[in-house]
Amino acid sequence: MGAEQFEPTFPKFEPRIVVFCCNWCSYAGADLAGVSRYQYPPGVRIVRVMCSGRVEPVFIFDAFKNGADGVIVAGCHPGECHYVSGNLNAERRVENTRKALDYLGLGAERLRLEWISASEGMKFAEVMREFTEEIKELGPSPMKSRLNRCENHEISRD
Amino acid sequence: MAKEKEGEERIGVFVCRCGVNIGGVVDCDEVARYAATLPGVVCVSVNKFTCSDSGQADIQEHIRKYNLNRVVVAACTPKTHEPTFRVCCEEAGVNKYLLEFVNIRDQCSWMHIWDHEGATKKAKDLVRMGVYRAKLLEPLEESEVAVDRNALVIGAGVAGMQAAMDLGDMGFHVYLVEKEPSIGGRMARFDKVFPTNDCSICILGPKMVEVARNENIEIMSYAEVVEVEGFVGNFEVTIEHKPRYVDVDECTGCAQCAEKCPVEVPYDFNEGFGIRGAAYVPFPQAVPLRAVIDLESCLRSEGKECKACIKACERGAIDFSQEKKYSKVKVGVIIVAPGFVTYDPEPRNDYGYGIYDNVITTMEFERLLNAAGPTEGHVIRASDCKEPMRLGFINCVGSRDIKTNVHCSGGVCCMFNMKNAILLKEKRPEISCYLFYMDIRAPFRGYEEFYNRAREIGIRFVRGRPSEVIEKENGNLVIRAEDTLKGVVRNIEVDLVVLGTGIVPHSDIEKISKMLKIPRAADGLLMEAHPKLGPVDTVLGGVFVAGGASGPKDIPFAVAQGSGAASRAARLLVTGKTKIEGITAASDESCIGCGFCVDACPYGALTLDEKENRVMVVGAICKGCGTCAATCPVGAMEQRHFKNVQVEAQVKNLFALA
Amino acid sequence: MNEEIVKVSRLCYQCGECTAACPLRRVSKFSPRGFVYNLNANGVDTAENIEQWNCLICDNCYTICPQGVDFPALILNLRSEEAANAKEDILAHSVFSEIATFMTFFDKGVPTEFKGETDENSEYGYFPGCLDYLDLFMDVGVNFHEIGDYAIKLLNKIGIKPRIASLKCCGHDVLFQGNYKVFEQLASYNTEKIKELGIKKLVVSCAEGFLTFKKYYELEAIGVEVIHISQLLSERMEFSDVEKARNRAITVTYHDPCAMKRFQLYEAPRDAIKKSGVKYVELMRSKDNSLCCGVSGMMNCNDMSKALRAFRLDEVKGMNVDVLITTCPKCLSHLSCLKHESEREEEKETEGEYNFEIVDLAVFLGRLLFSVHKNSI
Repeated sequence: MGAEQFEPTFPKFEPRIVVFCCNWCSYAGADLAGVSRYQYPPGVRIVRVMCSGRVEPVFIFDAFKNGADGVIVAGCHPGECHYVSGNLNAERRVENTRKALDYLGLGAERLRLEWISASEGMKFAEVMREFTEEIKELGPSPMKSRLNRCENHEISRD
Repeated sequence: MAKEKEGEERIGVFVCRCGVNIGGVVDCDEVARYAATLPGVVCVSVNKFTCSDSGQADIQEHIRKYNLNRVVVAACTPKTHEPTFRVCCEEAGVNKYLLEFVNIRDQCSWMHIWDHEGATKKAKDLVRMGVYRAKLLEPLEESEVAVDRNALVIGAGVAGMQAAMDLGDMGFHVYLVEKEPSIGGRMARFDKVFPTNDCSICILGPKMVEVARNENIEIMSYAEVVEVEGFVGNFEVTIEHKPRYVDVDECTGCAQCAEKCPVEVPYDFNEGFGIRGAAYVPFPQAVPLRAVIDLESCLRSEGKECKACIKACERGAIDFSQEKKYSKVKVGVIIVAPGFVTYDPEPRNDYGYGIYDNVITTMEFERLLNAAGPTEGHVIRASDCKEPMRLGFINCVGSRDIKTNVHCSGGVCCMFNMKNAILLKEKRPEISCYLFYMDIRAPFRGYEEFYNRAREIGIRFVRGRPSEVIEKENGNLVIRAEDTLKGVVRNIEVDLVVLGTGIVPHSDIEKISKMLKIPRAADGLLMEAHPKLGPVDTVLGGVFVAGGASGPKDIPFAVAQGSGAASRAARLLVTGKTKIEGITAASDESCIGCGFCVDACPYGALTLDEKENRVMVVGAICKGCGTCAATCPVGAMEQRHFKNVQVEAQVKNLFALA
Repeated sequence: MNEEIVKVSRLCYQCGECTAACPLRRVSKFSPRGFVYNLNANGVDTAENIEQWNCLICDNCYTICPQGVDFPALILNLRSEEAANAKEDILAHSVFSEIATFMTFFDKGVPTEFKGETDENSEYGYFPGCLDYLDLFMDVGVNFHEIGDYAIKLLNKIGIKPRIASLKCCGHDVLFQGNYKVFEQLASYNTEKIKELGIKKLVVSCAEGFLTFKKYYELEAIGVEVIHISQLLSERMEFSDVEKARNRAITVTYHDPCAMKRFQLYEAPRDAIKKSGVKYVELMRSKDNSLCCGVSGMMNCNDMSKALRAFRLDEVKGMNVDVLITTCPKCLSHLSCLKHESEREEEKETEGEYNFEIVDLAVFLGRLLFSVHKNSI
């Protein structure tokens, strides 16, 4: 018995991050990060929505249920929202969801709201790197081990 | 691969290598092999450039051959290429909203250049998310709306004037709204323009008259747009007309009132040099050539019963009973051209500006040079009214500096300063001109030759940014700068310092961006739809931008943009109709009429039908943000193309189970 | 080299504004621009470059740089790497660096005997710094101890009874000389001590101490606010109309210590001075553009530093003021040294060269308020 035997079952923890990006600012920011080749870890997955205001709490819970270690909701800076104030709705919603995550014991720090404009490619990559590091510190989402134990969980593959 | 069944989703997955952009990092064949195993996928294809003609033909071929009803393209970013592939699908008979675009370049291969394995794994995940979402996509029809054949141009500088003229010549009615009492903008204030040293007002003046004569253009000077409602093709614009206190139909612009006005205030057209009365004609070439009374400085605002102007006016055009008026116009398109201002060095006292009398800005110098300016073209300095014999021109004040503005003013202020030095030097060769620069940016036609001319004529170029300007007792100034090419620090004594102030966004841009809901970039300028391929478009349908509002520009560039914006706008005006985005909100009968979404909607596109107790969506106003859908407590409100099930399908397939 | 600092330096577009603004350049061939150019273009970090030991780290180049290049940080970084290899004769034989080094061996802070009311439970801690040591080794005709006395009395006047923090040397000089090891020992001792004493607001009357505690310590992370006394005085100090009227006869000016530039603490000392009602005139070179007295960091006492202080005092002389105020004991001693020298020479020749007083801000305000001989400013 020893560490060697354990290693294969615990591969290096690479956090899985889901980013809900609004179409106008953050998604374009993510594109700009790509165009400028600012690198960030490959565990990041982007889901495009038209506005950060579209992201409802259910999506966030769904993401955690489906293996995300951390979730970011990214929208335009206040005052720059393509839809005037959709991002402010997102802000309120994310704040409440963060509280709920705390009550539930998953931890508010796994959910973040970020304002990233279309010109902030560098910021996008930085936030991704930083958040990945933070989640690495926190460790894998406790949801995962629980879901694995639960037989009729919802991870559907149709 | 799945067997063919009636009414089933038949998905084709097209993976693009994008040359080596994707193919060099992601194992595209592996991604395609994986995609083929996903449910509903009936065919896969890998192309070197899917966006090329052959790549698009390949998609259409597959659509026909396999009778596809869903298409997943895994390539670059939908921000640039979604429209391309949408057209491609439509041509082959697949509704364009049944296309799912997966970004494996900008957000995968380019992001993880060194991690081929991780990138390939991620690409597979992204494709899987796309396929599951594609299964649930629904065809959407875009509704068409009529486009009002009138246009609005905000700002009558050279860019706005050009746009208005082009549209007017095409036969469309244009409302040209200008904040100042006269059209003409910044260019009207220049003395000469580089690189030809043409007299600025001599070439602009006729153009201004032409604008005024154009029967399709309705100039609304001394007016501001205060509210814009509606959507592409159907904007309703509220314009505030400031009172001129002069009956424009009676006034002839004779300026008798200005002569008799007892008030003396700094003349803003001359950059604060010289004086004007409270009643004044903006400048001799003004269009419309009508007087205006600035009530703030008028004695009447202090409660005095001054009648000097009323007595002076032979036609009785002075009318103090005028009040602020509002008018509403309906237009189909809006061209935004609010222009630029030059950086104001006063608050930071750059190089002693605002403290030392003999430190002035280029715009001020421009007016000094102008024959119609406060000194009738004689360059003199403020401290002792003497003619300066040694001048120091300092470039990049308020630009290329993290403490003020990082951006370069696009070579405009390099050329600007150089031009003024040349004009002066040509008039009086014995004057010595030092020009402090860091890099001379002379990129366009004739500019480099102009730079040569400046050197030839003997302007002394010193490469170095001065650190300080110190005033001596006699009013002379000592500029301290390192001559970086020689590596020595020099203290150069001059009689007058001219600051080449950078070009910065107009203060109105913030207001306009809020009013029209078009975003601004970090530098405060308006954002174009695409910096390369959509330089005069904005993200908002039917709204275009031209001139200095989207970045520093010289005159030909601004004129070209004015024309460009006009032609982009004319596309809508000519056809008289436009399609409205299909991605809008829709409510179903499970709506409980709580009205949460009505409060959340930023556009007022939702109304609560009291009788039916159900929320209704006004399609043309709805911009499709989906905030209502996220607010809805019962799931009755949906955002088309981003329905709950569609997004959740992606979320559920975010990560492959190891 | 620290990667972050090097990265920023690469943004340099060689405008030379730093070199033109560099005080040292006025008396030598030192060129920050040339230095950065060598680093960027030739990859030379000029480890053996003797020039770097001359840099005053006065922050003029940093405050003026249009690209945000932190040249002082570059120099500090280089020094911390090269200090051990530096030739003996490069580093100044400063008794204060020796004292700082000695402090690391003993568990004892600086002397804390000052006039004025103190309170052992106050959240305000006043740190006098090296004032008493300056009195011992700086024979320039200045009573440094009274800066502490007046500082505490002024704090009392605005309703604060501070405790006196018996910390060790803040480590400014050793840090600027590249002796990072000693600095770290001092810093960790002081940070622990501040925590132990329960100080929440650390007040200093010295500009260098302010800079060191605020920038190079991590006090904000443990909830301690670093305050320069002028910030408190400018906010809360009040003079009566009678006092103001009396003070109007005095003309003063203010010399910005280099250490105040990093946080652009320019207005607070000026406001504090102006509140007293004196006639205030601004020096030609002030704030971002102010010139170093020549001895930032106590690195050298050579021809260059001497020339610089004369340059600065000559500028003050041209303004015809009664008093030159500063907030840094180092500036005070260095500038006073020259004045002192010229006064000694005065005995031989008849005319005094600098006929104005040089005093610390706290002493100036303190004398206005508390001194019986109000005319002796």
